[in-house]
Amino acid sequence: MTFRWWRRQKRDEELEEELQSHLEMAASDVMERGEKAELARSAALREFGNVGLIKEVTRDKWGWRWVDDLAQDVRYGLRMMRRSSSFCAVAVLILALGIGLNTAVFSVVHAVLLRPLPYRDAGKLAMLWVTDTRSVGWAVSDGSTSYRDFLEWKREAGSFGDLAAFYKRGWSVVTLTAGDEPAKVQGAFVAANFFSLLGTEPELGRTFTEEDVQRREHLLILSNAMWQAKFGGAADVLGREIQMNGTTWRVVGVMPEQCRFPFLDVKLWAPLTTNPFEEPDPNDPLNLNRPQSVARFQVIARLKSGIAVRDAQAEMNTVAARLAREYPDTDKTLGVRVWPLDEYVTGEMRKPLWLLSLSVLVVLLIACTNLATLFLSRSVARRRELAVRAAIGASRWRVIRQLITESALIGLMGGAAGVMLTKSAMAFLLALVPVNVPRLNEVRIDPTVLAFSFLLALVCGVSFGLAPVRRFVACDSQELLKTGQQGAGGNRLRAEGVLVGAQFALSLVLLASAGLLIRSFVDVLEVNPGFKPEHILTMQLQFADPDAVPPARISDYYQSALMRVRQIPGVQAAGTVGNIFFWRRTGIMRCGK
Amino acid sequence: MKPRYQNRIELLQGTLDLLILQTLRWGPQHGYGISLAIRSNSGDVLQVDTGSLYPALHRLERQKWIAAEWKVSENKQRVRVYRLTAKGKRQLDSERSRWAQLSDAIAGVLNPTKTESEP
Repeated sequence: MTFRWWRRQKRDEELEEELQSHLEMAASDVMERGEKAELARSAALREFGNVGLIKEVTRDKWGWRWVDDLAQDVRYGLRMMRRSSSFCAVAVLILALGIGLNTAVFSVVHAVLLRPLPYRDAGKLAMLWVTDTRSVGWAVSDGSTSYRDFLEWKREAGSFGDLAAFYKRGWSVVTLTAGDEPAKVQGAFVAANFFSLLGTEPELGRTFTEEDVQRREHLLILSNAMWQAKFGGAADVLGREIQMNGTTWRVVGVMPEQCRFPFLDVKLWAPLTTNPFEEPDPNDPLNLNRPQSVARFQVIARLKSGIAVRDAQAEMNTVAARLAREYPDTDKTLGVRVWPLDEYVTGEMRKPLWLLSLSVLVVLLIACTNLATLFLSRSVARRRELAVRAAIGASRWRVIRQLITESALIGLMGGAAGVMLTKSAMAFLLALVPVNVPRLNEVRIDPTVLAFSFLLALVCGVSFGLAPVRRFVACDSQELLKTGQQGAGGNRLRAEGVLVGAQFALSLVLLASAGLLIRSFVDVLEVNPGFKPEHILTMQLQFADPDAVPPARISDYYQSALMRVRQIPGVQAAGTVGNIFFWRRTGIMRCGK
Repeated sequence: MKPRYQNRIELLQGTLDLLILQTLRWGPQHGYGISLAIRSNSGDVLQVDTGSLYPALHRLERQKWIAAEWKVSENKQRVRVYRLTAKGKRQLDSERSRWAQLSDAIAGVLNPTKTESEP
């Protein structure tokens, strides 16, 4: 017979039977010695000893006793909770808020910072970001390079398995015409190896081939969002046509939802050579011979396996130095930074997110100390019961385990409630987060987040269950039973004092930090932008096909539009501007006449 | 999992195991029979109470020194019969030698051999 736990029931019965048969045999022996039946049995029983105790001790030998005990503790704990249901409801509520908050923040931290990017072997991807020693103050270089330099990198750099170029953001905004209303949309113009470098497969259709790029085919790959929005997720979207910048483009593929490269809000991809902003020159499709001062490409690269970022950076430094020597008029001040993709995408968010996590942990800590005080005062009411338990033979450890089981139960219930709270409020919470937090689309409650919440709930439950335990350990049960009063109350008051003090301290820390952050925010709001932003409205104008309209007509249009706007009642003055201040990264351009 | 000794007899620790294993050496036996055998072989001196016997039996079974199965006795009763396993036999031998060593040692202290320096 094996000692498997699930055979306990059977083993119990067998033990019973074994002891019974022993009893029978002893009784019959006694009868043989000449005593009467009932006397025989009672004599045998006396010899036998306490059957119940024997069974219990024997059962002990089987091991697995702790499972029985745990089940017993849990049942008892549930009964106690039902008895003091209002206390439990309050405790669970407090804990649910604390844990729900932590679950929400952790799900964001997990999706944004901890999980790898949704591309193949994302740890090996890096941006090759151009740095300019001339960049001073806030005129930050946008990391873009010329195609010539890109080709040089591709030829020289041995640390990278593959490099792909794409037009930078400002050069990739396209105008779609659907029906009458033209709309500006963020696109991306990418090389043929772009998607294979990333390692994402299209959800529908295919990606671009070298031929597509060479022949400057007007093909499009849509993002999942655009597919849903414009075509309602229809399965026959391949081959459909879209009007973009005055010409017809054909859809050849759809990318899955998590592919948000190279820009967070990219809606469609097109081949590199089809960029409508480039002046068409059939002999020089990528305008290699164009003045190189307008850097308009950004580059993503995949490190070869075994090569560290440090080594790649060293190599790129030498390459950049050589280019600076060879093309001094354009590249003299330029360097190249190998920027790992995960830092590039989420780098800005690291500090704020960790700060947020810390703050909500402190909130949870406050909730726990609060609950510890509650449990402490509740234990005073239960001291009689605990004393009785101790008196009838429960070991100290057993009673402590009982208390901890109860509080762990409350912890787990609070955790479950918290997770459900977060789940239902997820949409609302995500709406509160600023839009430019990367990878927000990947935030969800997945097993890791659940495990985290479960662990947190358990730890919290056990920790505030420990508060009354210490006091219990020190008490004298004899005295308790007799007088119904705790001997020395000083200990309890001090414990409560410490807990309340801790709560105050933590709350003050949170309040102070919040105050400082709000202060900074107010300061930012009050920065003088150099003009009066009150009572100013802005609007964007776009043409369905800007290239088809002769410049003279454009300026006529603007003039008449301006005149009409000035005539609107309430308008004091109106004007036009190329780029609005403070909108993304603005430069000031001087327009030729 | 290490078994914790909780024998309640007044014998030295571990001797109950020895007695049980030795009893079973003569052949398989059920619990009642074992306690009878120990009592009679010790001349009614050692009366193992059942509160110690059955926990010991189950502990020994757990350690695979004895094995048990249900049999039907002559009185048509179902009884659980224990027998010694090979492992148990080895354990018995080692315990016997340990016991012999122990009793020699104690005897040596109680009856010290007279030295030459006796006047």
